[in-house]
Amino acid sequence: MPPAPPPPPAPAPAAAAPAPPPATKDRSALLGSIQKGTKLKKAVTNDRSAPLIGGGGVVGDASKVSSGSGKPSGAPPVPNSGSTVSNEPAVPAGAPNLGGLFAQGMPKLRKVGNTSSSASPPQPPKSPTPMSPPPPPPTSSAPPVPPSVPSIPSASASAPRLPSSLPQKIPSSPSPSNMPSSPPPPAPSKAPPLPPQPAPSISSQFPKSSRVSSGNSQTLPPPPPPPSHPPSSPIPASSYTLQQRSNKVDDHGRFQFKDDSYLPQPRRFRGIPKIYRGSTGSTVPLRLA
Amino acid sequence: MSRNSANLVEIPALVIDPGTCWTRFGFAGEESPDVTLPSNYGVLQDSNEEKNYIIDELQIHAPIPGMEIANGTNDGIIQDWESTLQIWKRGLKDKLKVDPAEYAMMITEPSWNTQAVRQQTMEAVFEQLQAPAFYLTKQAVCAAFASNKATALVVDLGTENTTVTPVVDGIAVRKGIMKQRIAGKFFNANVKSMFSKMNINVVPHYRVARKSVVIESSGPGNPEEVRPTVFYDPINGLKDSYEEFEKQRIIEEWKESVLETLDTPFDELKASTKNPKHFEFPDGSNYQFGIDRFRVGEVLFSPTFAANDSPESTLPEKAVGLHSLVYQSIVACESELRSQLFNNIVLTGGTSLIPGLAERLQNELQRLAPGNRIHVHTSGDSTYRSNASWLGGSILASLDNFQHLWVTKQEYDEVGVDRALFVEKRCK
Repeated sequence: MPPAPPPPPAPAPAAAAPAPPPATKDRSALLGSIQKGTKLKKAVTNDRSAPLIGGGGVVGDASKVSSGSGKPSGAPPVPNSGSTVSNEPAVPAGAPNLGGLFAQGMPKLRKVGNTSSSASPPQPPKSPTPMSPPPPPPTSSAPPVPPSVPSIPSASASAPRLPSSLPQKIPSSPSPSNMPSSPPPPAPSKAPPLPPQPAPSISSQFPKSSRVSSGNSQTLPPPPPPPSHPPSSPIPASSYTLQQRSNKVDDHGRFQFKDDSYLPQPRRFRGIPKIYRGSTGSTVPLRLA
Repeated sequence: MSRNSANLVEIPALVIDPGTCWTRFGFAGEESPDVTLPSNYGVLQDSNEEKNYIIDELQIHAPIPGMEIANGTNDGIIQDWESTLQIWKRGLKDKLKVDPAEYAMMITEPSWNTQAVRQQTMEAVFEQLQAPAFYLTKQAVCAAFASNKATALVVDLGTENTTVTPVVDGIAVRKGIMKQRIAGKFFNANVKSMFSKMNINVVPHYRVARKSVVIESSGPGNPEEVRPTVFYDPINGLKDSYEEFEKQRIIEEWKESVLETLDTPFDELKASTKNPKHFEFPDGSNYQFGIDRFRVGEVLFSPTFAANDSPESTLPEKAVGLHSLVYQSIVACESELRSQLFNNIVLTGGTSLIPGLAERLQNELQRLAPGNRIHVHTSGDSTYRSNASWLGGSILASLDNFQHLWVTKQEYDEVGVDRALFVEKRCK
């Protein structure tokens, strides 16, 4: 009764021969393989000890390591940020589900030339730790308001009301000299990437976000280069690796940047409500002022 | 030759390790069980005589009026199949999220299991769970396998019983099996008695809304402020079994953090040189435990230390120290096996995690049997030891050399109703 060889992970119980006490040869083979030891897979822990993502304001489970419940499992912690691990049925339907926020890993942010871009996207209170190559987002040190995102120069200049710490205030400023970090604010805010629109408010934490600076900045001259340290940053700049002050961006020659003057001049500000004409011939009258 | 091989499809296997205190579920081939459910369950009987089972590690601690805490095993053997199947189904379907009909089942059993229960186990697996294949292994044998040994003396300190089982070439030697009721539960009773002698009132977690807090004095002349415990309003209708269960939980916590044995026979002087350990109860009261924590631990080796002041804490008849139990087991085996057994003593079971226990056992055995090489194996960390029998099942079920030993549904059907001997023969 030769045993049917099973493929590795799924042992196939082959039908045994009717004779009950296994023959000695088989038995010693069995015992031999026991003594040799066998490699077992680590059980993947269904670690539910982290807070529910949708319910609270906390995204991911910062530095939580599995053994929370002292459960018998030596498994490595499963990164919990909305990943494959069981989804708690209890996530309230209406809650802002930030579960998948960083599911794809920390969004890779574009470095920006002159700005002291720390490239940190607006960080929700705690940022998930088990992230793939982070531009090391200041994980634990993230204050509730995302730190120092480069004062989008226009933002700081043109919209004084704006705390300079607001994320990507996409500057509707004409001055392209800093396509600043419009690092796409993280996933869920389908951020329209570009200028003319005000940055969508990422989350309720930045209530003041979108309104400002939509129209005003047009009258301003190209803003001065941003201060190298956003003044209000509580975090030592040294904790960011992207704090390059120089004008040079190390892009390994991949990009051929042109000077900002190549960008088209923005429209003159008229002060009347804007009407846009759609090119699809829609019936909604859009008149470009 | 197998007639059935043509019909067989590859089937993965699950391992269920039912114990008095915990039931473990997991996939064969993995190194730890994915799901562990308490074997204690809550049952609510409503007016229509319908039973509601509460089977969950957390929910079982919620105070629900009318809920009784019960256990489907007795002496380590499954007695009540209705509740046991409830637990198994909950573990498999709800927690592990598998359909048992698609998995071969490896079930573990105590070495002293009865023929009747073996048969019932097989029937439950094939008929209630609809599994396609089945096997039954002894927990002691699994524990040996988990240490990669085919021959070992397995000392299992569990909840209800402490057993010593000689395993030789993967088979438990019946005449060497020694069992006594000095184990987890017995410890609990002695600890409880110690608490009452110290006038500690054990208040269970669920009653405490806020612990008592001591605010340090702000300076000389200002006394420190002690804010008393705030209790929840008492809930009517809670059953005694629940209250008792909750108190036991605290005792378990105490055991896990404070209990210890000396590595030499108990001696007050020696015990007093060891650091006392402190324990905080749910209501905030703090106590230091010095000598007493060793005194309680001594019960295992010198049964005369038992409190004997209540039925649960009274020494069972013919109780002996652990080292004597081990010795008795070994001498019951043939002499040529003895030295191998002495040299391969495997400790398993949650209660074996008491600090100092392994060293003490080794020392005592060395005195009992000088001239023998004695080795008490304590490999692995704490979770490993509690899971050893599950682990052995996992190893066994995933071995190539084992696969021909499964009992298939087809064979089960062919045997018909007269199954008792069949199980005996097939599942050694």
